[in-house]
Amino acid sequence: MGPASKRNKKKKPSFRKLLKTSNLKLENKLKNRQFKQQSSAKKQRKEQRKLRQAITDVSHKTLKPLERYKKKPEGEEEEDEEEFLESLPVDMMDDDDLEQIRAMAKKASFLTRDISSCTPVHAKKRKSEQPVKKYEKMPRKMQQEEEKELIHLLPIKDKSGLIPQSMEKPVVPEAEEEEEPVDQDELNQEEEPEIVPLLTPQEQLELRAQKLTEKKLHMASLSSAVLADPHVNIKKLKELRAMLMETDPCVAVTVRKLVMVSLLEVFKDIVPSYRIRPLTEEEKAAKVKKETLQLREFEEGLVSQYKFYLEDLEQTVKDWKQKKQKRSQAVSLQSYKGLAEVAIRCICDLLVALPHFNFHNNIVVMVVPLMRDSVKKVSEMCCGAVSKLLKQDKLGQASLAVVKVISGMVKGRNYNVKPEVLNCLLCLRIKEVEMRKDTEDTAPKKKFMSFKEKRTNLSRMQRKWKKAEEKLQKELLEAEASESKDKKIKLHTETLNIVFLIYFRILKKAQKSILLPSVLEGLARFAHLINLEFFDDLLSVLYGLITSGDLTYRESLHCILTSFHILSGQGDVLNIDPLKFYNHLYKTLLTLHAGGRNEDTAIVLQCLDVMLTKRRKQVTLQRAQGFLKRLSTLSLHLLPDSSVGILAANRALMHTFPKCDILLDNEMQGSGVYLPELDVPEYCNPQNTALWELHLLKRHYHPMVRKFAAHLMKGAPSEGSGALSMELSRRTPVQLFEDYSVKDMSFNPPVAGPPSKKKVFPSN
Amino acid sequence: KVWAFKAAVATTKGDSEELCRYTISDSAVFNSLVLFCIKDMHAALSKMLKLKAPELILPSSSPRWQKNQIDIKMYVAGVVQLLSSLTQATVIAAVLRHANQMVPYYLCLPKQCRHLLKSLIKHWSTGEETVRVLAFLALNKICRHKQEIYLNSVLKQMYIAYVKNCKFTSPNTLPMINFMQRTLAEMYSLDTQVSYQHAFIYIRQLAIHLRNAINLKKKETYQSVYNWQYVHCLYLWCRVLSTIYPSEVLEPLLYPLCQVIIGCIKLVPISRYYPLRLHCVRAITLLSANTKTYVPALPFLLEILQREDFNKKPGRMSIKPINFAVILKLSKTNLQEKAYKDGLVEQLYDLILEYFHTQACSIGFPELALPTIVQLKAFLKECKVANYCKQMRQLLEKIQENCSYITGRRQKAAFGVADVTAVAAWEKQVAVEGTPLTKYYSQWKKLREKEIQLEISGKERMEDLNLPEIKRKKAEEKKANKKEFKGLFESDSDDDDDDLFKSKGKASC
Repeated sequence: MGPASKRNKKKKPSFRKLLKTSNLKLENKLKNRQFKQQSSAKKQRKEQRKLRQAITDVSHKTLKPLERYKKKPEGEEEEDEEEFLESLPVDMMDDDDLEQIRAMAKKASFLTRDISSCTPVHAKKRKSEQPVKKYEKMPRKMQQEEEKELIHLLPIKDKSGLIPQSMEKPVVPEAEEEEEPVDQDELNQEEEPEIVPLLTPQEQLELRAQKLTEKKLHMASLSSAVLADPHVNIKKLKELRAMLMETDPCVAVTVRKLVMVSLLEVFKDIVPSYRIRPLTEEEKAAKVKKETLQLREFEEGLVSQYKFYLEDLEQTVKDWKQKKQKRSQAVSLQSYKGLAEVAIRCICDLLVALPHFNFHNNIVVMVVPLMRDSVKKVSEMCCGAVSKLLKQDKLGQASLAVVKVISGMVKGRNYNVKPEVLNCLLCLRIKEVEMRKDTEDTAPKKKFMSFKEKRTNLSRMQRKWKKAEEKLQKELLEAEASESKDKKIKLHTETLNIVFLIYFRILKKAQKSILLPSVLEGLARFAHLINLEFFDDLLSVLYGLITSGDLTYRESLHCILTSFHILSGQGDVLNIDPLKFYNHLYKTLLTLHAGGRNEDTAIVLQCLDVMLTKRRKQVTLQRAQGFLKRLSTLSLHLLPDSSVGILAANRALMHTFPKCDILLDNEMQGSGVYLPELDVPEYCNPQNTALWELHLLKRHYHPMVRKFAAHLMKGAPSEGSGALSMELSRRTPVQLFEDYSVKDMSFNPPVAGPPSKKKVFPSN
Repeated sequence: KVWAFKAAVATTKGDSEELCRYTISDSAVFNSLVLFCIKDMHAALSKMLKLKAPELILPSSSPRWQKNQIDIKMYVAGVVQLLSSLTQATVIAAVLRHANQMVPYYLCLPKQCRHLLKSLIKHWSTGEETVRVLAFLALNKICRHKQEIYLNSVLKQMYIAYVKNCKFTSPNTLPMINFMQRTLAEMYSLDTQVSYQHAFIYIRQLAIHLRNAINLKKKETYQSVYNWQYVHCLYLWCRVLSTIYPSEVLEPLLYPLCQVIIGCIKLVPISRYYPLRLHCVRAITLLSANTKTYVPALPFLLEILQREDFNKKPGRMSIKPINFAVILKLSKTNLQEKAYKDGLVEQLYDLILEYFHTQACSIGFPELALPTIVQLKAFLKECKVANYCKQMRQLLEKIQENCSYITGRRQKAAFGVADVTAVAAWEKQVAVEGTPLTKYYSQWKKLREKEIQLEISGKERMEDLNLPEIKRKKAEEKKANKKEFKGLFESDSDDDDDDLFKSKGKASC
């Protein structure tokens, strides 16, 4: 243990360094600090760093399962990977870490309150009380201010009502108008109990309506003013935001909702497409042009308003969660739910719409815990938003942040998370990661000629030109995509590492959890990106899972698919015979039938593609024939779309193994009888049977199945009378399976209607 | 003679409307009058118009037609009114018989004919056994002779009447519904072009219902599919398509119909709806037996076998066996009864055997049977109830026997898989010779029918319900049907010939 811990100590600084050098984080930190009004920046930064370290430590610890897979430590790995593997064995760390984390967690709310508004799930109130107080002061103050302002404003409202009208742009009010009626409808019922008893209900309603329209007009004028000229009217934003504190009990909920939504739209429109960077001291000191000054003011105002807006939203959600009645009793407890829902919707919208802007990390931290909320609507909304974000994210930065937080949550919740959360990860758009650093490092250098070469090949002038040219090229490259691409790949690598970490952790520690299906699905999806050294252990784990018999059919298919993805990628260097997997698939093929889940066919088709067509050299003829025969038999008992898919797979098989055509002959080959019930494709003597079932399929009720059966009967010729049409032969089995899907009762191919009334059956 | 006839007409009319010269107060007089009309009117009329062979020639071709038209019209209308106001089954039957005779007259009078059709359809769909048969005969006669005018609307109305009247299914109404199904199928076979349009629209309607149910996933939409009307419509179209099998026009409809049935099975695949699933499978079997189409149905049966735990001791004992033929949905208590499991195993046995029977001579039989064999073996390994095991073992043996028979035969065959014609000939040959399964099936069928008879008579003794009556009537009706069908086919061919001539004539013109 001694040397290990020593090593660990040695490594640690490098890790911190790594953290430091991560530009993104630094930037983020800097900015966040800037916006803090408190002067205790330095101290906080320290703490923050500590926190981050703690978090990363957590993620290290979580890697533990992996470390057990490994048999011998490998030295020539990537730096950071080596690091996180090496840091694992330190068991002593655990307790300390835990304590530290706990402490951090408590402090976190305080820390993040202003920076990130991140609230760790188990934040305890005891310690956070202080900061909350501090924080609470702020809105109160503002409230007063705002109220004053409002009073001032109300008399002038005619004016402010008039001015914006003149410059109102048609785009803005539309967005709001859309939202308003809906909200109002929702609210009418909610509000009734709050009516003041002095007036008759009729009058109250009228009064309320009047108030509402007033407020609405006000809101509309404010937001349209902001939108019309954001640089000048940034102050109006503040005013608008102040309406979030609406206190009049009879319209409070509605107004708040409306303000939330309209602020959301306004922010979406006026936020610039870059991240706003806080100014350094020097920059502040330096004299600038008037326009720049204005721009700076705008940016500063925008960022601070945005921050406050987010805080308000979060506070709303938090209040709802804690079931507290706050904010001067203006809002009843029941209507808090609706309010919080709107707030969450706004947050989700922001999450998706402004991934580049400041505070995005904070939004992520806010949304992710809500993904496992017990209220179904909320969790669905958040999961949907996260999936959308992951799908849209092109830079990889946001994905990384999301994945990190999810990982923390899964671990922190002791794997007690909804599967939907993990299913979101399937939306990640990751195509490639860096597998080995050395290959990539050498690759770009080769582009340029070495000095020697130049000397021999080119004249002096040419050399000069060349030099200039190369320099230019380099600059261009740097300026353009190449840098961002490298960065992207790096981010993706990191993201994926964390994703696998989640997966492996669950595989190792929580095999019985409900998350297993989504884990297996995820593994199958990203299998080609898994690192080589885990293969051996992963395969054995997967095989163990399959043979344990606890899995559903779908899960075992995912296992098989994963293992073959692994083997077909870089895994071909491993000399493993996946015979067991073949036999398992063969054995379980007949579990697929028309009565069961039809979606599984897609995975079977993928498996077949990887196992047989892509590995043709490793597959014996006997095995191929065995599969061919069984698949044909299987296709008798499936829904038509699956049948078409399987038959198309058979066609591919016949093309890859031309010798399979003996299955179309009725002659005996060698000894033995075909044993259809035997579960080993090699020994069932498939050469001694024929594909007679094609004749049954030729009478199938589905036209496409008939077509394929007739095609296969003729030996699947690619030309001549028995050939398929171009479009059909180009589709892959999985595509065909999807094309002819029967899931929603659509008819493909369409059924011709009666000749007189040209109606056609609903087709796709 | 004409005077007497006129008086008769007037009285018939007066009987129902009472605004005529003669009012009849005495029921005896009325009876004798009606009786007289029914007995002699047809002969009298044909005599009057001097018709030789009333079946073939329309009365309007007679020279005296113009003169007597008004009287005949009145009389004919009177008969229709009489029909709709009568309630006693025997009398209606007698009047219907008369109306049947009078069909040629109706054919000349479109308005009266329409009225007649209306009341005929009403009797066909709601009346007593013999009444239904007679009404159908008349309907058929009319439609055969004036296809282009009436067939379309008649089919439509009949379909609607059918749907209306199969809302509830009980042991009493089931034979009626079956009768309607068969006769309606017969009507559809008159003109395949017209039937295609009807079938297309109605199957499409079924598909749309199903699709809504799939998409909306609500209880009400499920209810719009999972009801007797829907199931009976599926049956009906299966019946129609199988009656008119070798027809190029209707063949394209097999595909959507099968898809709808399978979609229906898969909509809510829970055990409480097993009876409905069994109905659907039966419909598929019917269809695939008669149309030489392969439709996978076994998986749905095997799934039941796989999912149901037959070892579990039944929670409740019950005396009454569950009649799977007349239920769609089981109650929760039903699911715990022993009768449920007994009935289910029996039904599965029947249906699997029946399905295999339809494919017994196919060259791909061993492949078709493979999952069943595997599944049954697994079942026998698991199941500890001797009774069920016995049944299933027997089934397994029969299937295996047939498998090895087919395998042996096809191994000796000298042709390859690609030789379609040779395979067809081979299958035909096997069908003629018979396979072990077909032989067993015919034996079993006889036994089974006897069993059902016994069961019914046993019930009769026990409860003295009106069940046996129906049984008798059913047999009777079948006879009648058969007779009638023979006639139909003959006349059909006649019609076809006529059509042919017409078209030829047109072509030559």
